[in-house]
Amino acid sequence: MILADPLRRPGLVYQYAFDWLAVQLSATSGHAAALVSTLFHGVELMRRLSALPFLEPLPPELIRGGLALGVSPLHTLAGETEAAALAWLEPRRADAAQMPTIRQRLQPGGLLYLLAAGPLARFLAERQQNEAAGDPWPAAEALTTLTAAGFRLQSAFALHGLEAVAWHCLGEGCARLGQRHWRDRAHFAMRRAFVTPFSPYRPFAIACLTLERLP
Amino acid sequence: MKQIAQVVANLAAWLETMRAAPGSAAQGYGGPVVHWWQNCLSFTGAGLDWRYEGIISGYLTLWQRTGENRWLAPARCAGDELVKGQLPGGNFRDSTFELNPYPGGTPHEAAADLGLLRLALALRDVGNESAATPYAAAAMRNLEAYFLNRLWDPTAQSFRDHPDMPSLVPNKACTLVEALFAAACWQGTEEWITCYGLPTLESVLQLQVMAPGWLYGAIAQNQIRGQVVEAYFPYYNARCIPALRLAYDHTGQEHWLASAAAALAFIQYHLDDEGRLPQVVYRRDLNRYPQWIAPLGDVLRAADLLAPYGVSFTGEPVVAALLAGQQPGGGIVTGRGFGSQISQRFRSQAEPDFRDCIPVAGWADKAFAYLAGRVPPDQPLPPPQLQPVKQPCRLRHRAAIWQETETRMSLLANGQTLYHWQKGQPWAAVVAPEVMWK
Repeated sequence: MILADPLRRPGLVYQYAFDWLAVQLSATSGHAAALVSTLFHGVELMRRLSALPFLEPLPPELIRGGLALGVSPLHTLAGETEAAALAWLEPRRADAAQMPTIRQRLQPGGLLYLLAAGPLARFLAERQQNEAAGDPWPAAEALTTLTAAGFRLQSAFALHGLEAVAWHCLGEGCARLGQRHWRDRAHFAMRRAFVTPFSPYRPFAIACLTLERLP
Repeated sequence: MKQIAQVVANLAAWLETMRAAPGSAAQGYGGPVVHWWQNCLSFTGAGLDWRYEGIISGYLTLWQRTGENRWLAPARCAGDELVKGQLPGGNFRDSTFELNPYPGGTPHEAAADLGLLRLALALRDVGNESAATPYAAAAMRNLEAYFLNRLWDPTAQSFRDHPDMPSLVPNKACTLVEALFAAACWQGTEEWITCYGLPTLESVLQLQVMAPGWLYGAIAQNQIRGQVVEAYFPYYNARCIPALRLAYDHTGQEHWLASAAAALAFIQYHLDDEGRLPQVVYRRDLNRYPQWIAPLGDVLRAADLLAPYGVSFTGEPVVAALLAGQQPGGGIVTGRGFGSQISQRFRSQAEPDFRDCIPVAGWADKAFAYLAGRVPPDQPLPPPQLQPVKQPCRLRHRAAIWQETETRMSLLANGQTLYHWQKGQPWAAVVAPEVMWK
């Protein structure tokens, strides 16, 4: 469990995703906050943005995890404060019910940064070890629901699509054949292809979506 | 060619532009990282990693060599940052360099310990033991809590790279052994050398190729679960040499010196006429690109350590390659050919990949530590002369411009900002998806 060991790092997909969120939220003028579905997500955000408030009170395990990382205990976004940006990390299907809260806490024109699971997410180690959300809200479904609820998609990209998977498999094949130098080159091709355009019709592990809250 | 003193003055001034903004939570040297394994362009906060070895060593060398007291202050400031950034468990915050932001970096925390111990020893040498103690205490705490308690493998008699996986990475183990020697010097006891240091180096020797051929002297990159990964990095071989020399000095046993000399021979064999090294040599092939530039400081340092023992090395082209890497902004670029990492085809006339333009604190420190030892003795450094950098480059076949000033780094294409880091900030302000490239 990631909370028990501050040295543990998530896989590459989540490193990309959390770093993207950190860049977006730290560049926000005005209040920013986050809504997480698991402790895993909370700890990873806390590592990156120790002062970031959360929308909901946090469980004691997360606060203890923060202390192990040398981060002060967390707080929640005050009262009726409207945020200029919110991050929503891998909501589960059941979390769709929180959408009115998210809309209410985000100022008109504010940005919602959504990490949403794709079809390949089930192969991620974090998912297999039950650290990331079970029964995730699929990105395509979340996007449809959010746009119907007054959000507009501003930009989107996906992580670890088919091209990256293909390069990875090719590299592993090279390694099995003892062709280490080809394996390394295929590995870098995989990394070059890691960030890919988002399409709800293509397989990917995680989508990074930016949505604007319409007035 | 610029005088070494001016190069060092500019490099020191550039390093100071890479510091976190005053008042920010995590003080220290930040900035993007490019590396063979992975890039870290989004997180730009202070990395308490191996950059501190070179930065502290470089400033201490300047202090001792020029006789100017002003160079002790940044060395102590760097030491203070490590002490403040130590986590409750003994690890250092954001110490994993290209993998940041995470603690527990190897060899990074051992390298930071080495910086701290060199600082403590230097202060004790001038009679300031009270100032030295906190630095040494932080290093000892890290060495004991992390490396000895979590990474030591009593069965293998060597240090693992991860607590849960039987593994050995020679260059990392050697950096750690250097730190153990420094700790022994501080403590006045040899226990850590005999119980941990020398047995670890014996394991490293098992991974060295001594058969004639193009791998003669090469030390394999790592061993995982007993399986040797047959990739041989000349640069990482250079990082093994200081510990091997320390073992020779300590024991007087010839096999340590022979191993160090063979590692340097491997490096010399693969050095090209322009003083550059291939990135990785395999049994029958090699991946040449990217070729390191700023890290060549470690290669030259290793060669200097063996010179008194009659081990020869043709260093002039390497020094020239290193110095040619300095930009008008004072930073020394990390390497060339990052854009050739996949194709392994490189045209020196073509515009460089944008990563070829990026000076990185955790690579430039290697140049700094080496070059500081080459400034004329007993002379003050000249004032720095820094100018903005504006370099045409390419990003995934697209024309772009890399810019650096004393306050920012940015990448632009067609008038659009694709990357922007305001120096001192822990995260880049803009990282376009095409620049999100770990």
